[in-house]
Amino acid sequence: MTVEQLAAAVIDACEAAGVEHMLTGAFATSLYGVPRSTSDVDVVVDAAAGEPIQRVMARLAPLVVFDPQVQFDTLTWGRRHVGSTRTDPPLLIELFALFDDAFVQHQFKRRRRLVLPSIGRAAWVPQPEDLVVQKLRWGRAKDLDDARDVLAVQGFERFDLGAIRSWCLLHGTTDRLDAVLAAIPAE
Amino acid sequence: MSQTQAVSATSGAALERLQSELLRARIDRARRLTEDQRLAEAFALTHGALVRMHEGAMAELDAVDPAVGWQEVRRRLERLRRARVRNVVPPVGPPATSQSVAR
Repeated sequence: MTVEQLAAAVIDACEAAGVEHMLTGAFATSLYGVPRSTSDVDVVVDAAAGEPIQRVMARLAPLVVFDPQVQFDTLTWGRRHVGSTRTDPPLLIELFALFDDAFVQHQFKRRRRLVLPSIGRAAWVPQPEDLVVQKLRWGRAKDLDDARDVLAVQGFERFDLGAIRSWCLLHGTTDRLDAVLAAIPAE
Repeated sequence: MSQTQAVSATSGAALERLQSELLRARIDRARRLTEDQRLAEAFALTHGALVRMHEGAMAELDAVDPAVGWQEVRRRLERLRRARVRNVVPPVGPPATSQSVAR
């Protein structure tokens, strides 16, 4: 199974289970920034009704073995279910439960649907500005590089920097935003 | 400033300039691609990385059975993930009002 086949399977599982979702992680970063490799498919799943994550996991069970233990993510504050593909090459899937955080909710509400021929599907993905805010908030070196790349490739002039700054102020990440903007090489 | 320090400072500046030029080239190249083309390239990079990891594992283990190589790749990726989780930077900003899943 390839990583794009896994992504397609996750989208199909979410849609068949009637669960709202959004692809995030390296997928979103590569859409908007500089493409990079990943062996993970990260998906945010709306956990508002019933047991949606269990429904998605059940549909993926023929392809993916999930860790029975739910993990609490210290980086995102969310709960996540981690699984790996049954076949080689080994690929990871992480289902993040949407939770009650103002920015997380805002990002999910603003997600956009995009037709992606490379996976033969339409997929829900975050807005690029929201991806930047999220990456600045997570703040690992890789995340800051991703934020810089998205700002640079998309052209930060076309972003609502005021809105990004407002979130950064709330998250205490204004210094990070200024640092990544300063790190974009001149044209 | 000693001669060694001066050479080092010049090399440092040259290296920074080179890094900046390389980054600019990567950004300009990514800008010429569509969203889906960038995604397709990420997939191609992923395939390449996994194949190289597998080849490396097979060579190191002197293995013949590809499954043995993939098992080693799986083990290494898992170790990398565990290291990443341990080394995460504490999140910034106000914590969520609820740590539960439900809205």
